[in-house]
Amino acid sequence: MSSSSKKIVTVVVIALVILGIWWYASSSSAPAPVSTASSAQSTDASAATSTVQDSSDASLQSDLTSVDASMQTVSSDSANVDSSLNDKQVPQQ
Amino acid sequence: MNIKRKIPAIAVSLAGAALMMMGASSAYAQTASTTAARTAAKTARASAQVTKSISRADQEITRRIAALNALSTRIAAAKHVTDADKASIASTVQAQISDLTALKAKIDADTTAATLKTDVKAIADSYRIFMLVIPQGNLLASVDSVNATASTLTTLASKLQTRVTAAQSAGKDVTAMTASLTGLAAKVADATTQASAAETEAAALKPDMGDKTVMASNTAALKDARAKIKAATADLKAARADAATVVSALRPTAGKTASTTPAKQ
Repeated sequence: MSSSSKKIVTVVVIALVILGIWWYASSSSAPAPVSTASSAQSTDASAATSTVQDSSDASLQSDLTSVDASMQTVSSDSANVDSSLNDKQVPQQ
Repeated sequence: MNIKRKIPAIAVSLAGAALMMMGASSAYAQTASTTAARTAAKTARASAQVTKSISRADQEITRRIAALNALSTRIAAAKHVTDADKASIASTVQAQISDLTALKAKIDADTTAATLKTDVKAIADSYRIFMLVIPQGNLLASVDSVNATASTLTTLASKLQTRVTAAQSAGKDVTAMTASLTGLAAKVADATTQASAAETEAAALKPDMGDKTVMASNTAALKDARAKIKAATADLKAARADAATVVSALRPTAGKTASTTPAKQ
């Protein structure tokens, strides 16, 4: 085999190796779009689920509990208003 | 001759004079000592008075800074008031904290009664601002909590409406539940109206700057806003009772056709 033939074969081998690596890399990343699509679908489903109002007994009871907790804050804030309106400063002399 | 006879008398006189001078000197020394002691005691009393005044001033300033810091934290957490009102009160509160901190540092460094008296007067003067800012901020916090509760009740009312509609479709008599839901909505609406009016009323107030007329109108406005918050609180309590009535009526034990399964829409 002549020297030029060896060079051609070497170049072809290198090219094949590069092609092989590229193909492997492409095939490895190929599922990504599928995964993204799947994820997007999942997100959409999640969003759709969150917009569906849960009006189960448990949810209603949970909301009532939240209202009670919030009412406690209202009472506390109201007490602070009363306290501040009746405030007296410490005598200085 | 006469002189010789007078020598003893002169000697006695001189001795007497010497004794008198010694006595006077002793008395003078004693008086000076007493005066110095009195001056020292007076200085000590004045110093003690200054220390006492500084302590009282620090106590008042610390109390106010603590109240302002607590209010600042509460206002920062508010989510159901306008950004403009929130920013305005937050800015005023921070300015007060800065002023009082600086005043405290100045008072702590005071050494004379005269300077201290001037600085202590500044505490009293700033009290008028404090007496506006704190109720203003607390009213804003109350508006926030009223609106937060109203929002939760509105969400709950929507869920209840879904369930009542489903119960009606299933053939249940929902007249009482519908009336409770209507009452709930009306009370929540009134609560938010009252809260909004209280916010507008309180946020518009400005320090009186020593003007007694402005001070009186500020006080009246704060009390009126307070009354509105009380009315809103009563509305929320009534709305909560309406919600509980509907929740109770929807329970399976409350009727044969009631369902615990959420309605599909």
